[in-house]
Amino acid sequence: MVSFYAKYLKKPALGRSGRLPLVAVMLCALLAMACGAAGQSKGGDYATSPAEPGAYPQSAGAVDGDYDDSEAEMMEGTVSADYRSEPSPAPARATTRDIAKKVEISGGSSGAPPPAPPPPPQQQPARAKSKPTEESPTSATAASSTDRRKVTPLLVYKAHLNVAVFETEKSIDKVERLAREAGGYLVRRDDTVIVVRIPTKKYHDALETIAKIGDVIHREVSVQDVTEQFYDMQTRLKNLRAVRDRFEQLLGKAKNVEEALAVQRELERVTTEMERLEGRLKVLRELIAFSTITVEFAPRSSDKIDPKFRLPFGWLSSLGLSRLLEL
Amino acid sequence: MRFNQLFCAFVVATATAACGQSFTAATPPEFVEIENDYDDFDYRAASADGLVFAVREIEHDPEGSRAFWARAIENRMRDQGGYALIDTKDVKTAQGIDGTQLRFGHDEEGRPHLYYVTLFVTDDTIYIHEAGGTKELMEQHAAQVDWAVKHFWIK
Repeated sequence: MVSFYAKYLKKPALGRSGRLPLVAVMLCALLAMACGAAGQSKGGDYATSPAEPGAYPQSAGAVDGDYDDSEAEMMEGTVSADYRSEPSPAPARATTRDIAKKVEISGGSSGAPPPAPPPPPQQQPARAKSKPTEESPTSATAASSTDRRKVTPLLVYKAHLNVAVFETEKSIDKVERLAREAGGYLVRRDDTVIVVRIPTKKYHDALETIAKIGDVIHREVSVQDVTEQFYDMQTRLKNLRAVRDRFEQLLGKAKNVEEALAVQRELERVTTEMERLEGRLKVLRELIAFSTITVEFAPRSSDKIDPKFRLPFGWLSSLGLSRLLEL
Repeated sequence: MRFNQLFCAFVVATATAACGQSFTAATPPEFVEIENDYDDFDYRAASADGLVFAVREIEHDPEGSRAFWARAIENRMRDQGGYALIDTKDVKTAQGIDGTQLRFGHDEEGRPHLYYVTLFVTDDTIYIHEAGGTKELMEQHAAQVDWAVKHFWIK
């Protein structure tokens, strides 16, 4: 973004047409945004200014890939297709990636690409259209970025159970029913695997109940603390909103089409980034509110049984019309 | 009539077992003993519709308690075979030998099967009595399965 303004400032027409004050105001707004983001973040990487020369070319490509991995890790099974495929405006791409990089740093590690998004549960409240900053996930409803240390940690629970293969369909039915009765929903189901999401409050009870349905051979439970990630994203969103408001004011003050277009481009970029963050917050909120339980009915190595039972008497095998009529 | 059938089956089983084995397996009515073409088994019998009994006689070396061997079987079946442990029962033969019966379940091509492994351990020998088939058959022949275990005899 700064390179964009540097380029803009170098234009000879700028000084002559008297646009300098407008650009200065825009620059101040951007600096305010940068300061706000840096001030809220804890890590040193967060505070890295996107305006540092040489930072973009080196990080942009790599960050793009890391960003996707981070998303996959964080939003497993729930990421929305719209969100993932949302294009960024070309002029602002580097800056967008930089923001993505910051999220990725707090987000953690890489992971597998997420599966198709699940159908939204009927039991869920209509969170999708609400403003992310006005609402918080389950355990931290009234929390804000200023008192984040006081709030309950925001945790994402995941469990994977390997269950012995016996009466699989019946057991899968039971797991699905249990999830629905607990206020959860089905994410995926096939012949041997079922993935359900259960309200986090009922996660432990549900896990115990599911474990009794079959013979659990292997159990893997993971908990990811996303408290910092969540509030960082909220803060960034808040800052972006402030920047958007300023751009909207600037748009009203534009003196000609060229100025208006320049501000409009930035406004679009900020809006896009806001939508992106809102989407991520929504997914994160969903992951916090609903824990994921995967039950897999699969042995580590299969003991095959021949489905056709054969008594070991040769003459029995020779019965039949084919032998009888063979002359 | 039923008693006579059972008695005859028992006598036949006893007579056919006199060939060097250290046990006598009881073959229930509606089952036939099958010539042992397999090295793994020392006795096998089957019903016409596919329920099979088998006995393995294994040298008890190294020595271990019945609980140890039961656990070893359980782990093998659950961890490597993907079998579900449904129940574990203590059994006692008519001879007064204590044993442990592990009841496993396993699906194959969508059909549930049951597999019972009954373990008898003496100082010299481990006896593995197996019974298996589809769940439907095993439930249908439950009394005969219990009878075969009850009348397993160690010489």
